[in-house]
Amino acid sequence: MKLGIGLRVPRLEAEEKLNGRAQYIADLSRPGMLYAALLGSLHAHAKIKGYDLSAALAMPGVHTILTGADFPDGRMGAFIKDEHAIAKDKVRYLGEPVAVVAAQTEYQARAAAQAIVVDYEELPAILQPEDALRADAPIIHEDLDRYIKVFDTGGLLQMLFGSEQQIDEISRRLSIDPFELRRKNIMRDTDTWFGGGKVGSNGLAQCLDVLETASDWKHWASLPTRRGKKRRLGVAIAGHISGLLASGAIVRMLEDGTIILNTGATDIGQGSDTALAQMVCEVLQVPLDKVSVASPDTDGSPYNWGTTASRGTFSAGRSVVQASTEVKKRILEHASELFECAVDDVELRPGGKVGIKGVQQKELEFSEISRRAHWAKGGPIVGSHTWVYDQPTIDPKRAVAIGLPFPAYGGFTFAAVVVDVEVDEATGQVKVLRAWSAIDVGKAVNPSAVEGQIEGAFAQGMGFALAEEMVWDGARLANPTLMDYKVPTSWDVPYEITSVVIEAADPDGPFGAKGCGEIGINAVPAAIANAVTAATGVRYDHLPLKPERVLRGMLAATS
Amino acid sequence: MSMTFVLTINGSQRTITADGDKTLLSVLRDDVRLTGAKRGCNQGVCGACTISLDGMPVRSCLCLAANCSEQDVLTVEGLQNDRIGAALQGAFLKTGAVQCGFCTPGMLISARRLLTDQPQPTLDQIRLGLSGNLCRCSGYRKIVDAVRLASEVLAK
Repeated sequence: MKLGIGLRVPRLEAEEKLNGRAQYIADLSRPGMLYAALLGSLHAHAKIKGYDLSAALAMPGVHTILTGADFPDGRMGAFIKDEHAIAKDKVRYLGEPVAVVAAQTEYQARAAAQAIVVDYEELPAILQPEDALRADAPIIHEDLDRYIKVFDTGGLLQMLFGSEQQIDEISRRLSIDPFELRRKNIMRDTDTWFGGGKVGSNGLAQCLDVLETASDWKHWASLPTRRGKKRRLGVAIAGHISGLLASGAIVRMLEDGTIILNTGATDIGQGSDTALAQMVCEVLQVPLDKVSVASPDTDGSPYNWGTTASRGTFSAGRSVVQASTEVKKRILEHASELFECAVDDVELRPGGKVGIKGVQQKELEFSEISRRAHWAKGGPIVGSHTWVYDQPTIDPKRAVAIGLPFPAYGGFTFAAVVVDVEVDEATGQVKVLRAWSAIDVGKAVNPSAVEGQIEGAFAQGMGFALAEEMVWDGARLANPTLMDYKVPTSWDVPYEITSVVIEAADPDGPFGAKGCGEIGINAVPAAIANAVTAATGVRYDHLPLKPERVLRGMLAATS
Repeated sequence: MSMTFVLTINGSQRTITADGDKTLLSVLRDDVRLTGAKRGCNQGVCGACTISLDGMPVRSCLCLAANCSEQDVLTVEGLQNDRIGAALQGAFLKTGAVQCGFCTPGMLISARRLLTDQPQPTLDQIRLGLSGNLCRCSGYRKIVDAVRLASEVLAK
């Protein structure tokens, strides 16, 4: 009987979201609640000489206004702690919060923020990374010694946009099929990550094999092509970290034998609450409706480094499995005492029951065990677990040299993407007709949720490749709203996105699972660019591949 | 200036007193405390605030509430009492079309109108019919599947 891992169950909170009852932050209302509005800096780099708050404070509904002057010199930041909550003495980017207003209504707070007068002395700014390298570059952070070059682990899709096109370019010049060249060079099985990082499992070769067949790659020439269009397939591959640093979980059994799970992992729509609950179900052999998930709360939840780096399933998941296993152990101990037999002779039975191995008749409900624990013997059953990823990965000296604040990454996921792309010869417009995305997730805890992550990642990658562009006017973003910054609609994204789930189990992951939050986006822009190049014969080194850019490239190639 | 007017919201008559420049979205969320309709972009682009006004999907962030006087407002909170709405909710649940859920209320309202006009839509009609509602996390496929499933359920 399948109760947890691998079940296509709807998300725990799906019904609330469907009937409008789900409470997002902006939906909350509390007695006496005030609204806050931030005032952002008008300059990219400036000294704050003073504030005039009098007009704003006199406006209706305003309770208080805070500026950097009201805060002690505490600083914050994920790794380098260099940022004030509200700018103090100077601003270092356009839009940096310089004041916050608390007022009775949102409208009053916003209006008052606009009435604040800040006296700035503008300083020369740095708007391009290259400018920061110049000898005469203005100093933005005075305590420069704390700044070592730190490479962000994000930004993988930008890097792969270059490297995966390079691989295609090499395959073209060597006249080797892009799939073949990749197959010859990819990491396999026990190969380590760069820097010597341990790779727990690697399903990349399988991703490539499956997509080559699924997309009928070898027969691209027989794809029907409409008049005035060029049509080709493109491929790209990717790897990504999955989980790192510390997580914890607390699993409690209530008097009625149901379970409450508490972790610091936040479900932002990726489905972690459901996936983590499914892990509890698998260990304790109970259906999903016997498990509740407590909302994460820094007062009461165990530490979780962050809901980031595709680490929910991998990092929090491992703690959930261990904490649940602790609960299971206690249940079996109670049962062995009640049955008067050895612990090894008792077993969990599906549906929240315990029995004696080989004996069908005698069974105890979890509720009976839990009542005994609460009222008679042993105390309420609680399992907890915390861990930090500490396997040798990146060379510790190298970690220090490049400024990594921690020595080890967690697991690694792998992916391959193939796209079927059509380019309009007259307008340069690129249309993605079909896509295949294969991801090695170790083990799909909830296959439906994994597909949703893969499909969504594809759509985001497609937007990045074809339309999304931040347009700068000096330090100011010229297209900061959805009116000007276009994201793909249901009419732009192809319906035919085929998700392929590859399961190369990672021994460090819960039930072999790895993360799937970020990996899916990484190879998409490069795959689309490779298809566009195959179709047009033009290699593009800038995104997005908007019609004007593609058309200019084609015109330049023919003249 | 404060104005008093009557709205029928999910079947119940409500007398509303609100400033004349207040949007229907603000009245629904702040005064009536129906927070199902979401404020995404607040400029009519994302579709998260879509509600049904006399049967037509509209951006409630672009409507002045006082202008909707005497009209029928249907929000996501009222969909379970609506034949098409309830079928859509069931289908979204079944196909896994809900992720973060922020676009879901608007998607449901737009899909309801789509199925009213075209009870048996093609895939492309669904894709076009939902193209005014942005979703950033699903890739739309499961949402399209949900609308198709709902049309099949309703045809039975």
